[in-house]
Amino acid sequence: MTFFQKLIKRATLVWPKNRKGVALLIVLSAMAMLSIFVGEITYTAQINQKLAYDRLDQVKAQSLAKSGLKIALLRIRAYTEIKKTIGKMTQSAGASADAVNSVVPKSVIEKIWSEPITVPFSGDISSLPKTVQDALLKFRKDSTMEGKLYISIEPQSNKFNLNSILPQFASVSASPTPNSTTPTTPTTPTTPGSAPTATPASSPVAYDITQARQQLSDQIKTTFQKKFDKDEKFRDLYRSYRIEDLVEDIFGWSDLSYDSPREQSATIPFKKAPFYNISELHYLQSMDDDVYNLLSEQFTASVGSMINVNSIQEAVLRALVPLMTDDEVKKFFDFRDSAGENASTVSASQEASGDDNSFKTANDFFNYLKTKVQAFGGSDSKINDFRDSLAQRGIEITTEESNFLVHIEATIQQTKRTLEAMVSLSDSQLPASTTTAGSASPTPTATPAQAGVPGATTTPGGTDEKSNLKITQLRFL
Amino acid sequence: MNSTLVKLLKARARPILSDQGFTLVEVLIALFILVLIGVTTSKAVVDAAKLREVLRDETEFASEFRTSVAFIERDLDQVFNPRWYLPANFKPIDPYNNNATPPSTTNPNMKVLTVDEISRRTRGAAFQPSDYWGPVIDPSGIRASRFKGKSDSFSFVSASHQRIYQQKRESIYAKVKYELIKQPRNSNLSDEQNARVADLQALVKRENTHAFEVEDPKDVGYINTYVILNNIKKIKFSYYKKDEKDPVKEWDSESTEQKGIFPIAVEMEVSISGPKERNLEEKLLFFLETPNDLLPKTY
Repeated sequence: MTFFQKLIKRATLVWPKNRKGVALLIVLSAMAMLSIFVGEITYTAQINQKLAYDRLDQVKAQSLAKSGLKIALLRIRAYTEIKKTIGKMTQSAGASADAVNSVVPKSVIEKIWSEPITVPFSGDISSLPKTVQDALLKFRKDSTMEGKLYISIEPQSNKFNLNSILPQFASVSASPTPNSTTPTTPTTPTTPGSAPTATPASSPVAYDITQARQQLSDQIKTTFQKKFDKDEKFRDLYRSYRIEDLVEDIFGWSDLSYDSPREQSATIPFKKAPFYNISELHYLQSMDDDVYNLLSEQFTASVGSMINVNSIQEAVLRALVPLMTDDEVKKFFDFRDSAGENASTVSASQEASGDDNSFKTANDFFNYLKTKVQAFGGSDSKINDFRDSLAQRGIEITTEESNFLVHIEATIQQTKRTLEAMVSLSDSQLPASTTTAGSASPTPTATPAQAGVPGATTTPGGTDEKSNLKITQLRFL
Repeated sequence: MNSTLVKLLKARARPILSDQGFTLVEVLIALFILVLIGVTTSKAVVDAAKLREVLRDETEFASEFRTSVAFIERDLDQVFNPRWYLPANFKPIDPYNNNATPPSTTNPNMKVLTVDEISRRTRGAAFQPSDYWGPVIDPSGIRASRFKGKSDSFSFVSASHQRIYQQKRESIYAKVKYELIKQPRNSNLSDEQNARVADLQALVKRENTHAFEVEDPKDVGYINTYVILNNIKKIKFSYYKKDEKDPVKEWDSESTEQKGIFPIAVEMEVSISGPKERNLEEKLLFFLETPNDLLPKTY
């Protein structure tokens, strides 16, 4: 008997034994199929539930981000209120700005808005006083907040405003009056919240739109040149790039009064209104992403053309004061960001504050340049020329921030929502120690309404039931 | 004892191992049990399959609804109006009063454009509102954006656009319009299925990334239309004015009554035909986050 014959015989013997197990097989198969279905349904239900919870988290995170914005606004408001109060106290007590600065250092007041915070507070609190620790712990415990909030507020007056080529957006002197000498310190007490007196130029220069355009054009060219020097690849790519076309596009896009030869050939019709956001540069025919990235480091689109020298960044400082050498630029930041050990070498006001080297007034900045930058060589006339050039461009040097970028990150579980809002202090209540370069007297920031538009009442009041904060833009990223 | 048990087992086992087969009754009983189990399990399997399908449809439906709501919420959150760059007490140019705009200030280099000059430079379009923009209100050329709302559509300028592709001529701004259209034909459905939903409507989002073009040209690549919600039986938008309890049916920030003002919230009342002939009826409220004016003191 062959092997196969044996196998068949055995199978026929075995078969009758297993015939009764068919039902079991069917049941098992059905059970298996059911398990697969149930498994799949459970999986689908779980996915669905997760999606629903994720959506819930997104909604919570969005609400949390909005709450974060309110906290940020509260901080900015607290900052302006404290500055106002200090200003009033100074005026009523007849104290000097320096005396006030020594009691309440400027850097401390600035921290009200500039210090990034997380909510709930998660840092090491062991070094804090016991009462503060208890209050924080109680707050943490009482808080039913599920997620985490990160709030940072950044200065926006640390870049050039592209709108400075527009008379309505340039910082201009209201009525320049001649003045003779250049005192090294302000003639009246200057404190946060009180009006300072600028170091006047010997021959005040008014805003000049032609000069403003020319100097913006020069600045863009310089920016390209510096990039060429640093980046060979960029230089090879953009060697034949026509910067003049870019400048024409910028003027044509934003200035209603400018007749650009490129208007007819523009693929996107010129807006003929101010830039509301720097991303509008993408609309320009001569713009591409590399050039945009280059320009967005230095330029912004804002209402006021102020540059805050206490938050200015290196690229902008180099563009603002092209005469500064690398070493001088480095020393500038070392000095400004240090704790005050060099304060006495600069000015009386800085000396008095003793706590930080941030510039208290625009004059401090100009005085620093005069004494520390070799190109100015301590010469009043050179500094005044520099101030005149800024005035012609409508650029205002300030030491107080009035435009803020609020950045909020709200996290719930794995969901994160990011919110960015541009917040400005209203024109009526801008920090008073802004100083127009080249002007003889301090002027409030010029806004379009103040620059000659009919019917624009510039009475600062009228805001009794309103705060001085204004959100000009809000973005969920 | 053991040997007796073995014998007994062998005696019991013999008939089973034999080739005699089952009796008819045994077979009938076995068949009955088999059918019973089969029917029960097959019903369970079919029910499970149906449930799976229902669950999938429900998930898709809920997801589509959530996504469309998120679209509207996101755009309305980021509504944009350049008017907010100007002071609260600002008064716009009056084109019918040419003398209202001074030809220049004390500074000759700070010449401010007159109404005539503005008109000339904009080829007469300066003081005409369009669907998304109002007239020029400032000598620098600022136009207020326009919020237009009806019961079945609303449009505005939003700062919500995300620039995804490199080298695209786009900014953060876009002209956005939500409107109701006749339900478009779905190529994934059969003719019969399409016929069943033919009388329903769809909500579409129209987005023009060239936000500052005064007029919307037709058939251009940068105006995109997305269907964001299908199978709408009924939809109604209404608009809330600040400090007022009841909403209004229409809104136009260029109308005399609502000049320069945006609603504080948009209400959407919607009835949607869901899976398995079921209806979803919802009333949603979308708040416009950016305020119109300086913030109240409570901030």
